[in-house]
Amino acid sequence: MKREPFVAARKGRWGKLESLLLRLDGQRKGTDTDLEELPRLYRLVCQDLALARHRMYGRELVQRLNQLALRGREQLYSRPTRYLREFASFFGRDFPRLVRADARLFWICTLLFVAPLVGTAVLAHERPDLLYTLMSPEQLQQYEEMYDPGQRDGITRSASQNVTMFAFYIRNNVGIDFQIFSSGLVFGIGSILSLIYNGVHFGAILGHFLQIGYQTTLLPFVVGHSSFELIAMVIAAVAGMRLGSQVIAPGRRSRTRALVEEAPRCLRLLVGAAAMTTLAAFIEGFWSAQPLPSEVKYAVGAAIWVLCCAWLLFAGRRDAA
Amino acid sequence: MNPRLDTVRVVEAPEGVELGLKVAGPLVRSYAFLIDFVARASIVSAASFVAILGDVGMAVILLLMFTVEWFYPVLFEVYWRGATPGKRALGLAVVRTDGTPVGWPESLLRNFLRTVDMLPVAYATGFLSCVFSRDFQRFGDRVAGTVVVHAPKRERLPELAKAQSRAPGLALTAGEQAAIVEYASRCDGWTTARANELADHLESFTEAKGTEGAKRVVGIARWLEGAQ
Repeated sequence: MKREPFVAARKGRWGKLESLLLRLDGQRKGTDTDLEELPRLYRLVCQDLALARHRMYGRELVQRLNQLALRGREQLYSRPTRYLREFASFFGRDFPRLVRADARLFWICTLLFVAPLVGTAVLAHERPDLLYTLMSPEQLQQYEEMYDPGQRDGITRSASQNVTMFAFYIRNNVGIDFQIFSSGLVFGIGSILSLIYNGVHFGAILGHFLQIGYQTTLLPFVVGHSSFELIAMVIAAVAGMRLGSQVIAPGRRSRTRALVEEAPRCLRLLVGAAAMTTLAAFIEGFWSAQPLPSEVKYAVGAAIWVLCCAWLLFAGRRDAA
Repeated sequence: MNPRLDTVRVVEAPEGVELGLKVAGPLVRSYAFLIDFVARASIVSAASFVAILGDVGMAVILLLMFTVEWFYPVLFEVYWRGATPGKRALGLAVVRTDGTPVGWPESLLRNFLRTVDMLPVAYATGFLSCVFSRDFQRFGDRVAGTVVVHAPKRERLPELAKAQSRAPGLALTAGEQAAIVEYASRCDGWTTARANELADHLESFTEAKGTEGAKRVVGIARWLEGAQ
């Protein structure tokens, strides 16, 4: 068959697919006839493309059919998004399982955060002068003003200020999760450094406040949201380290292949961590600054810690897949 | 199909045909980035007037900044057929390496890992990754399994250069034919010296050098394409 009769015989169906694609581009759902027509026409165009290429009908025609087939493929293979439906099973079952499956990495990351925290806290408590090698006097003064027990309104806020702080915590803390994760791609180094840095930073403030007696404002404030926030940070680091470990030890795969295969799992860990941090920001924004007795704060904070740990330890254990 | 001739990524569709994706290089992508950069800055500054609402307005701005910082490309790529406004303006789109559309997981991965590609300054890491990748993938693309392509659309191909159509003296393979046709469609944009220089490689085939050789190559291309 020569080129002209080939084109003449098939022009109709190419035109049909073209107009169908144009129509579908603009809308979310096609009609029933569209759903029958699209795969059929797409397959026909794929055949025509293979034939045209094999018979060397020329660049123009091959290119045109190639672009048409690509667009058909894009439309046919776009997948429905049902993430909302998966929400319950993800947080009720899959995410805690993922965390438990990486228990070893989780404890390593926890240690990488807690050890510098305790170390720096003790150091800042015993040798206050060393504190200024870690942070500037202005920074320290800012923190001191925030938690000064003498002026209680430092931590109690108005309702609208709560909203602002909630937004601030989201932007800041969830952003930190994302950064801890993505910097893990560099052999896991980014995640490790972030954990140590945060450990040192918190440790320094904690040690300093214990020394000058500000713990009466600091601890009731942080006890409520600390569980979700700190554990989420560690989980984000686990996700980043998992990513980095594919670069270090890809096994019997190419590094790219190992990364592509593992990345979705790492991403699920990160998404869970980000959700936990968002919840922590909510608690920190709307609960932690409430003017309530410290005993209440401690009790509620402890309850949230128990809840968070129990969720990660036990959710999804029963109906194991 | 001969992928080596051009920046084309060949994917095999389950329908039994090979499709060619035209992957986009770092230059056009950096233009798209600049457009998006301006767009993002304008969104944030345009919204800054809500600061007059006080604390709540401030909260709105902070949340917006967070969204724009991390999710601007993701939302557009997932809900606007693989393209941010910058990419759309330049006819680019993000697709998975097999040519199917990106979803949430791919888009989140490739955009969150921007932080690595940005290091140490001005996307230097991403640029190097692009240059050393067959499909111009930065690290985020490699991990997510995505490529940036020139979005498929109906386009007019460049005309072949003018010359007397002539039959080749030999049977040419598909790759050779494609190379000759590509030559004829691009040589009008080159200097004569460059066009002649390239055509001189085929001297033993066309039996001519310089301008005459170039003319003959174009003539053979026209014959192959069935043009007059």
